[in-house]
Amino acid sequence: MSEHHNHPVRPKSPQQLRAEALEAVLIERGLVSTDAVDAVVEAFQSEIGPQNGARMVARAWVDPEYRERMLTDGVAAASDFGFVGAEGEHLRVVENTPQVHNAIVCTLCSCYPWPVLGIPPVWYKSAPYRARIVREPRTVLAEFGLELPEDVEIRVWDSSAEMRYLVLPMRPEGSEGMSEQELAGLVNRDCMIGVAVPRVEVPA
Amino acid sequence: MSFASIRPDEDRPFAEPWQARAFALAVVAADRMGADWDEFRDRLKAAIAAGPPDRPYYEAWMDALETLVADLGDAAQGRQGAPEPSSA
Repeated sequence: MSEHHNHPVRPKSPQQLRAEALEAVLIERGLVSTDAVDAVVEAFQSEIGPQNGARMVARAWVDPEYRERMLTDGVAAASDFGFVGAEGEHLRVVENTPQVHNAIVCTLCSCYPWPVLGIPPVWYKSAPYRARIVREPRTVLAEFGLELPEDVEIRVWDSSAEMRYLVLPMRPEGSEGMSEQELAGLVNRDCMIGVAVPRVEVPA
Repeated sequence: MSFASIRPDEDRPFAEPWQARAFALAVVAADRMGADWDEFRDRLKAAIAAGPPDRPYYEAWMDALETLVADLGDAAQGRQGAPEPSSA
C-alpha cells in the first residue's frame, strides 16, 4: 500500500504532506512501523467491512435462534463469526419492523462498529449527516432514496463510546427461496446504517 | 449538503489513500503507546468540536493523533523494549 515510490499524477495536497510527515515522525520515534500501518490498512480493505455484518443479518433471517441472540447480545452474535476487536466491544442490534425503522449516527464524531461494518463512509463522518439525521430523519432518508410511509416511526440511534449500533433490516419480499449466502448479498452497508433497505431486483 | 447525490469519493471510507494511512497511524500508534482507544476518541471529539463544521474530518483526526503523541509518546519511547501489540 506504500505509495512512496509512485510518481504523483498531481501535486500532493497539504493534508497528504502532513500525513506523510506525521508518519515519518512516528516511525522515527518508534511509535509505528510501516509494516504495521500497511497491515491495518490492508485488513480494513479486505477482511473488515460490511460483508461481515451482512453475514450476521442473513443468518438472523434464516435462523430464529440466532436472530434472538443477535438482538439480546450483539457482541456474542458477532463473535460467533469471529468478528471481534477494536470498536466492537459494545454492539447493540436494532431491528426494523413494519412499524419501526432504525438508523444510526454518531453525533459527536464517528463511532461505528468496525468489526462488522468496517470504516464508515465519508458522508457518515460529515457534519451535515451528524446533524440532519437527528433533526429531520425522514427528509434525510428520502434524499437517500428511502421514502418511508408516514405511519412508520423512525428511531435514530446515537452511537457513543459506550454503545455502537447495527440495523437488522427486514428480509425483503421476493427472497423466499434464497440461500443464506444469496441473502447476505442483498445486504449492503447502507442497509445496516439504516439509510437504505434490502431489495430483490425484479427482472424487467 | 443533500444526500441525494453522494459523490463516489464521499461514499468510501477514505476519499484519498493518505486518509487510510492517517487512520492506520492512529490505530497502530495508540496501541504502541498503550493508549486505550477511548483516549484517542476523546481527543478526536474535542478536535472536531474545536474546528469549523466543514473542516475535513482527517485534519481533526491528525490533530487528535498529534495531541495523543504529545501526551504519551515520550513515555512509550522510554519503555524498555517494544511493547507487544495487543490483539485489537
